[in-house]
Amino acid sequence: MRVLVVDDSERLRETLAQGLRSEGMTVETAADGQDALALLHDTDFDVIVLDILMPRVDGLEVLREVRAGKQRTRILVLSARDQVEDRVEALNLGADDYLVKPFAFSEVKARVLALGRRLFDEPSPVVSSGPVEIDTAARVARAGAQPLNLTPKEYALLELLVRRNGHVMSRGMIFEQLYESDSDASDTVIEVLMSTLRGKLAAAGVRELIETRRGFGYVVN
Amino acid sequence: MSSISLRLDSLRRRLLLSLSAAIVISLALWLFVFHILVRNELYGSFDDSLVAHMQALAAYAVNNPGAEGIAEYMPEFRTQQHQDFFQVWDAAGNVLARSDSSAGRTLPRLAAVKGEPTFYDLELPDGHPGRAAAQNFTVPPGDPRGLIVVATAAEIEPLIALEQRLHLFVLAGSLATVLASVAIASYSVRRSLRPLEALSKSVTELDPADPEARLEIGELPSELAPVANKIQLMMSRLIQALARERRFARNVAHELRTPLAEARMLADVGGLAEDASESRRALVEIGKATQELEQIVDSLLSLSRYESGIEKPELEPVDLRAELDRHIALLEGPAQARGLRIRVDAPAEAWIFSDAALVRRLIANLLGNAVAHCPAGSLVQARIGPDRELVVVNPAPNMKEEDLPRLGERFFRIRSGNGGAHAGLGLSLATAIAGILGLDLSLRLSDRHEFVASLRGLRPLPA
Repeated sequence: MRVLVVDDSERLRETLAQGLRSEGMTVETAADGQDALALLHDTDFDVIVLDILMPRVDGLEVLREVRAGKQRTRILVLSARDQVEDRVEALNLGADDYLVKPFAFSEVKARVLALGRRLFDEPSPVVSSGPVEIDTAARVARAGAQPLNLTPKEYALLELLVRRNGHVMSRGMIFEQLYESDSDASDTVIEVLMSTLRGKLAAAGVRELIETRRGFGYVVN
Repeated sequence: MSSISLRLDSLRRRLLLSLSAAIVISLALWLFVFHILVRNELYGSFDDSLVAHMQALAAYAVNNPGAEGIAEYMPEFRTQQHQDFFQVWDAAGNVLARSDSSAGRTLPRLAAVKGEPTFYDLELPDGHPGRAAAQNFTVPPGDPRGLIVVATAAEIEPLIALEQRLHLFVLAGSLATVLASVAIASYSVRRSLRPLEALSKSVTELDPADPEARLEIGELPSELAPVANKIQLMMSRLIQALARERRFARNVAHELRTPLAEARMLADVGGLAEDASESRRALVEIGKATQELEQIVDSLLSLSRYESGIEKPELEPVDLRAELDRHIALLEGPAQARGLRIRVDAPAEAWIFSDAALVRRLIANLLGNAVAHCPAGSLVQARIGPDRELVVVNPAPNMKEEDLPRLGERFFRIRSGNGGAHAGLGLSLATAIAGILGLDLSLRLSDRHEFVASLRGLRPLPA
């Protein structure tokens, strides 16, 4: 899942990003609304975690811009403003969820994951394809009853392909979803990742889950 | 009693009642005076007529002891007239003559009659009410009558009827006048008070919570216009103050919740880290977040003390230059970290008479604000002018002219050159302290887009 964290508090922004990254999410950060809009111009995000009170361009303006652009991105507002009218204003402008500071990391994570599921119209946190079942809340993948021992990137790759069941994803598209824009890695890392993931799936008895379409990319059917 | 009091609570009713009472009392007085004037006029004429008749009779009676034949000259005293009467007595009280109209009956005579006319009311010989005039007249020497007393009388029924008719007309007219006056007064009072009622209604309907609330005053009389304008001004100040307080409450929430959120997030995420160094880093950052929280709370408490007047200045000699140098030395570390230069242009000593602790805090806030918000690598200037004017200048590329009025507002922030965290309380504190010390702190933007804070009014040492 690709997440954008926008907050003018560097400490909060980076700590939250670090926590979400440790959960296998691909996280980009922006220090204010203006930087966020610049990032959104070039990149699609599944979820935006957005502060409201920020210098230059505030969170409400970002909400307006994003919704005017008809982007499907889910937006979780994190704000110190705790009045009902503040929540109503943000929700009316297109926010999908609203959380008042201070908050527990586990709650932010759960809400981000829930918003991610809503993006794919998944009512349940468990998604599956064939014998493979993924609990997106617990961040655990299984082949039948057997847990798969995956690294965060392998897990993210498997979740991405299973969630986009039937849709071919190019190496570049996968790279964009799994790696941050300032990453030093090249998209060939996806092939390496695919190889290790397939190896672990095969070891668990799942051999045909991910199909390679030459010249197009990868797909789970 | 209470219902009367309630009724009199209305300004309109009070005015109407006062005006009505004034009209009624004025008319009653006028009626009384009118009654006296009319009575004097009517009875005066009547009495004059009695006296004229009496003197004519006396002139005749003095020279004609029997007064026979007088009816030839004064036909009003004949029998058939029955309205005018006379009688003449000698000094012993013997009746010398009487009018034919008396039909032999005697006119009542006053006991004390003088040499000038005396008037009195009486019952006439024909039984009607009347009025008489009597006077003593001298007779020629040797005349056995000694003197004669002449009395003339006439009916006053027509006079009384005329007086009553006049009173009736005037009373009816007065009553109509009172009713018309009260109606006009009521209309005038209502009409005159209509702008006041409209103003009162508009004030009553004002919603203090509505930031757009305005008085609907329209065209007001000159007496009310200043009041309405004052209310309008006070309302807009109140609304501004409320908006400021609302902003403040929101900002307090934001400024306190953000470091709390940082600390909570650091604790949560740091706790999940498997690497011990990550946990240690999280602890260090939690310490910094807590320190920032402490600074905000401390500044808020100081601001509250200053603004509520708890803090009183204690004046003593203070070397402004020494204080400036001391604070610059304290800021050396942060300034070096951001590549800032601080230049001081001040005499070797600059003694002022002020509160040392408050001046220190003022300098700390002005200099701290400059160092915190100017772009990295820039120059901060501090000057002490000849009139002990303290000026702190720093480049402020992100500041706009419209930001200046809000700079003293608590938690107002402009994106600073360093992008660092700050609560926006420094200049609020400086403004509050300047107020306590009676100093003029002006904040402006120079042509070169530098933020200039000038502190004027620092007192010299007493002579």
